Amino acid sequence: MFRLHLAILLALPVLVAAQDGDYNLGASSSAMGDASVTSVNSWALFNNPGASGALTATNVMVTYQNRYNIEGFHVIGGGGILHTRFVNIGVKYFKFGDDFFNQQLLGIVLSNKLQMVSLGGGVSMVQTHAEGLKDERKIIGEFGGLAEITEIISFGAHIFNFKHGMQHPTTMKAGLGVAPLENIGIHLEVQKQLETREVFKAGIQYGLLDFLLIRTGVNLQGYDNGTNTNATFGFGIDASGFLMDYAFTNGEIGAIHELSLSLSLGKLDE
Amino acid sequence: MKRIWFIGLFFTTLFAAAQEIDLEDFAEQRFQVQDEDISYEDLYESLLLFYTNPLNLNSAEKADLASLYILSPAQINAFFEYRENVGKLISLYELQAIPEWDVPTIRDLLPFVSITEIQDSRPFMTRLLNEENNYLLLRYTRTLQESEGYQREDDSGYLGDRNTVYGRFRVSHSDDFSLGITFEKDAGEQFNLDPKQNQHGFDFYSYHFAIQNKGKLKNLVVGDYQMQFGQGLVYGAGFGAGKGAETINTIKRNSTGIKPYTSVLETGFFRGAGATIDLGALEVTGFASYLAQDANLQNDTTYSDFEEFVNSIQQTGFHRTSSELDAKNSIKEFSTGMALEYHIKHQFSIGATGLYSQFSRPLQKRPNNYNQYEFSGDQNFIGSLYSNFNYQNLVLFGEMAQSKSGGLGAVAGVLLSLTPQLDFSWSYRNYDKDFHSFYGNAFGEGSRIINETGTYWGLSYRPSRKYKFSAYFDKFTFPWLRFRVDAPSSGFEYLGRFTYKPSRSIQMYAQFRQENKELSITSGDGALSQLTETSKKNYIINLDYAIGRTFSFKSRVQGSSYTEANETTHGLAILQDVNVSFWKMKLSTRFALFDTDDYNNRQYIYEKDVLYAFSIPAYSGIGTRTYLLAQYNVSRSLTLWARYSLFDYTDRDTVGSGLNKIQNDKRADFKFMLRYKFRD
Repeated sequence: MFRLHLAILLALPVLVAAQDGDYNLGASSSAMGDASVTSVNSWALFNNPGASGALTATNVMVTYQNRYNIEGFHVIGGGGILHTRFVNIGVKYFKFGDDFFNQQLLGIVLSNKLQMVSLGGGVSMVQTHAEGLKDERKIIGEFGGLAEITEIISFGAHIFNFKHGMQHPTTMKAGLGVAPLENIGIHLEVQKQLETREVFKAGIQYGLLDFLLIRTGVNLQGYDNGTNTNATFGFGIDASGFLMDYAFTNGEIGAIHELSLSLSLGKLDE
Repeated sequence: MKRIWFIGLFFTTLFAAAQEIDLEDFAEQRFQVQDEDISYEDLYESLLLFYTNPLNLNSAEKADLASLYILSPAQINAFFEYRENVGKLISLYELQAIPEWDVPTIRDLLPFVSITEIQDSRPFMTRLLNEENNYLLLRYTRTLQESEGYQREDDSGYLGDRNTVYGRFRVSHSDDFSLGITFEKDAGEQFNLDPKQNQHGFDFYSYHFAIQNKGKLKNLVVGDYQMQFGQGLVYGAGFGAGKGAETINTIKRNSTGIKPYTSVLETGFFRGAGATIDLGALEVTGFASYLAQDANLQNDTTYSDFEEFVNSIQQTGFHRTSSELDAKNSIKEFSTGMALEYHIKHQFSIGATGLYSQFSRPLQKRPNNYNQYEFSGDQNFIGSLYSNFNYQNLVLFGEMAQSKSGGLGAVAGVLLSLTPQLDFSWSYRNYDKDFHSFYGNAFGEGSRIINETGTYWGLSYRPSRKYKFSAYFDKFTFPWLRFRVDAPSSGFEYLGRFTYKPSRSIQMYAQFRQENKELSITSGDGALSQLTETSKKNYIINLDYAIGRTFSFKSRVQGSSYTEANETTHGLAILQDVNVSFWKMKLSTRFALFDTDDYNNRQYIYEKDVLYAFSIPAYSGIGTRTYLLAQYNVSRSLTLWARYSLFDYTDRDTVGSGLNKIQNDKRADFKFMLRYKFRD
């Protein structure tokens, strides 16, 4: 029992540093410096529910993140989006940690597209579990949007958690997506959590072959005595509806590997 | 026939949205925020003055058009050429036919202009009583948390209740008449009738009656008014916008003459009567004013030979505590003066102004190194000469003034449309350390025109309708000491803004600004004070986006850093607005996050507010900002507004300081307003 508490105590600062209250997921954006707010893919359910309104097919997906090769820091997540004529309905699940300490999120997202703008909002329940302590639960609201400014430029924004608390900070993201060619995507983003400095993210995706995408990106966060930087790399394989993405993050704390699978079901609208 | 054809062409798109202007957006496009030196309320009030007194394009002069800060010199010239060649405009749709004018510019201009050519021959009282342009506004504001001033039991607290009550009635017709009354009671002030204490119900009243264009009488105002002539060295009302995102037109002031005053800012205007007589090429303006203002009486003989004097005239207009109430109306100012302006066609004008001020008690500052050249005494006079010259796409302007002290003030500048796409501006200013102007409001870095020299360059480039780039660089020195600056100092400032407008409903811009100034830093033991350079940088990335007329969005990221003595602090705000209009309703909402290390990095951000109110609070500290504004048009004559706004801080348990301190981590304000039009 003592070892357990010690582990939790030791883990907490790392947890706080390592994106507490940050539920961005998906290897495709992880490979682009975590710039994700303008990406229209199934992971938009986590990264910007507004962008999920632009999806035109039903999707299911699952992901696994290995953080620093420490078992207790691993993340799994997944979900599904049901595409209907009027609204996209998404359900998502996220789990960080192991049986001793973990944080889980279960959420529902509704989204839709109005002309050139898609909007989405949702409600999630976040549960924090520490062995031997009472589970703590909180309901969190979120809202996001994605606007096509021109055929090349899009803008996205996401607010997660309107009610700020120490354990669950309010997070806002805003970013631009630029697609000068069909097979190139550039993403620029700023993410801000209350009480920590903003993170600037930039990433690029290039479609090398019809089925093969390569990606890279960086993100930086200033702190009192300097700047924390992460470099990210990855690739994606797109086999007509079936997507596999891998991302590698070379961060200051250690390496993160992420593998995501996603499947587009049903007929694509266009 | 050709004209009519033009008119039909753009008819539908252009005038669809001309009815109501979003003053928040309008101001944001032109004037930078993030500057403590600008009085935003002032700026807004003068914007409003134009909005509620549309300029008659058929009688407008160059100065009038220029004072809107919308048109470039080339466009203004094109307008006057057109009017001279084609004759008076018969319809606003005709603006399309003027060379150099484009749709976005016209759209910006429409709310501020009108064309009235029909001479109304009905008796004056009939016109007054039947005028459609009239309204009564009543506004109520209250902060939901009680601040310390209300809790104190002793004399030092606020005497009145927590409500702010404001009202305004106005009836006016462009180029004919204007009649208005404004009244207000601030939060903490009493609604009380006690003439001995200078209390007459509401705390502040302002009223005016004005008639225009009656034979040789161009303008006559009785009651409260403001005046602007030349470059504002002597008389400077109107929106003294100064440096901002509009880098060309805002550096020149324009002689707009006498304007009725309807604001609730309780200083900086004249009370009495003023008139302008039109003698053909010569216009003569004369006025007299008697205004009681607030000041604390002093009789400290250690630094003054005056028996009873005041340190300064208070600007706040608050009368909430007994000491504030004691200061009320304790200094009377009599002022009189005149202005002459002589025109040679539209090309050249020359003018002279003079102002004499007499105070019932002498002014003297508490002596300090930095203020020893400030005004002292009970009377001042100041006079100036000014001139404007237009030649094709070139505008030259200048004014030179001298005050009783002998101190000189001078401004000169150039506006130049190099090509229809490229505009350039340049100006120079020099205000002596003993130049004393009480009503001056000219171009500069400081909030007052004293102790400053500077040179400014501005550029605006619009390669197509979609893109616009504007920039300025301003270099300034302060020849004498200033508050917190114990030596002559200098600095510079520059700004660049890139605007991208891919379509009518979408606009993005990115702006960067840096300002370096010097400040005194005292060594650890307090013995040595040394100048150090401080640097403030801020950036804004902003997107405005609309879907039809129902939804509109604003997203913005704005941040800053402040460096002083090798230490850098930061601030950031991110916001998302969603606005919906449907049926007879308009809803505006905001959610914003802000996180600033210190007050130097506070983020000023425009907010939507009830009609004719202006909100640009500083987001400072750590927390969230939300508001909800609802507008409901009950009928053609009645409109209602309600607004709830909230600051929710995470880094503090109290909000505000002194008497305004709230024992809570939140500050919420509620506002309710109604507008009633008697005849519509």
